[in-house]
Amino acid sequence: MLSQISQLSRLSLEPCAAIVSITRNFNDNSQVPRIADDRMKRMFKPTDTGYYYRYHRQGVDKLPRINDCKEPVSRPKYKVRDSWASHQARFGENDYIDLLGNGSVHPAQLQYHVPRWLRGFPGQHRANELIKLIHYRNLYKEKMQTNAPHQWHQLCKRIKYLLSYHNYRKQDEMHEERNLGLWEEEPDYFYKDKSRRSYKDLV
Amino acid sequence: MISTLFTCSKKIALKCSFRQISILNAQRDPFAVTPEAYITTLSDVEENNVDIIKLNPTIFRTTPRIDLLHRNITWQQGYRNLQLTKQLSRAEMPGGGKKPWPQKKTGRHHAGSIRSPHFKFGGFANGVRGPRTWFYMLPDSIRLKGLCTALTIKHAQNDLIIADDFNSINNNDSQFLHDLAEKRNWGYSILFVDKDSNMPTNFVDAVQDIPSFTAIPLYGLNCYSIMKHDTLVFSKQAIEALEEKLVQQFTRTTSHHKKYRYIDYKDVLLGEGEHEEDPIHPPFV
Repeated sequence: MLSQISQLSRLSLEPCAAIVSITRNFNDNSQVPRIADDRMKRMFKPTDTGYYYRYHRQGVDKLPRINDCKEPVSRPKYKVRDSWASHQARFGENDYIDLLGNGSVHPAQLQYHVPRWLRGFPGQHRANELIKLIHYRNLYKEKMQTNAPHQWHQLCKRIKYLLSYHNYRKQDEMHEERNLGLWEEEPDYFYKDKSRRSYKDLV
Repeated sequence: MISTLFTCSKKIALKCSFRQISILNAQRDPFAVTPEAYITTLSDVEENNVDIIKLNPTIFRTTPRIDLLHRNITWQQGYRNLQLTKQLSRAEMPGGGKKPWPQKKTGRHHAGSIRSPHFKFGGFANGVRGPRTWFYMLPDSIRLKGLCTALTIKHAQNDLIIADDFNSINNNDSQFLHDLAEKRNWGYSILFVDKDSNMPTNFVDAVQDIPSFTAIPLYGLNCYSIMKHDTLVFSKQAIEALEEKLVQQFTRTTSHHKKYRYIDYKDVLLGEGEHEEDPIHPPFV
């Protein structure tokens, strides 16, 4: 009874702030925000941006400005576009040629303006710069090593830097490489050196 | 018995195209309305409706999925974009191997190389890197639905016209075509769709001079063009071929949600571009 009372008296009225701390390992330099960061910063974010959404009302609002500020707003120069020039009028033509045509041509084959190694290659939102460079290296390795050694050297340096960058700092972002459709999704589990065979081989 | 069999086989032989079968199937549904369209001639300025045909309700009277249409148009606008800018990093800039001044005792800030991003002519830290694309492919189901939605919208808003044949234009006068469009209230921009890329000469001459009139073959049809042009004018052959093609796509056995994989097309794509490159030097990036 006494011990219980003493335990109760020891309870404080302050809210307990539980900060979860993670033991950092040697190679854990990921820039993803971690729970051990400042919690107060995340709780109290500034909400007043000076702009109010006009829902269900007509018209377009002017962008928020400081009162009586005469500085001009920097905007890119207005581009004159001719909607009905031949290139613009026929925009999007043949995009559905694999559905509406023979089936022998795919729109990826119609990307004549794109460099050869990037035609049909998934864009930056799915395939990193690292993956793009590795693909380029796979295609032009011999050519570069014999004819453009400086380019080869720069490419190797860049790939090495990007590899260490992604492996040390972006570990949380690596889970989608196999879904890009650049190589087979299931690894070859039974790969082995078939130059020396034995009675233990399955096939 | 034999005579009935004979008549049955005759009936089947007459209506064996996908299009006819699909229309017959649609007519069995008591709640479905088969959309219909007039067929007009283009020989006179005055409107001259020659015939009526039934259209496939799955194509011309679907529930308009405007969100899918939006996805289609966004895809068309974005998937072909290419950015060629490349901002050199500090490693790629010329020079910058030596430490410009010692670490301590000069009053200046710590510097390891003259091409660091802090410096005036230094490289970019996280710059735009090399040729960059935004390529992706929408699944076939979404593209088909987008096309059907666009066609439904055009038909429902009376902007879908079917001409019997583009041969019926007698002269190659673009003024005639312009007056025709004026008289029939077709709108400023018209998309003429023919079955094949071989189109009658008169028609092509007339359409060429008017910038807002575009003539395309059937395989060039796409959501963006349909929505961009005010009116669609199909030839009868084109509309039948279109329905046939789309019904074939709806009923095909291969998957409609197949993911686009680069490996499937890699050989073809790389093979097609081989002649464009220098045999000795790799392409400069």
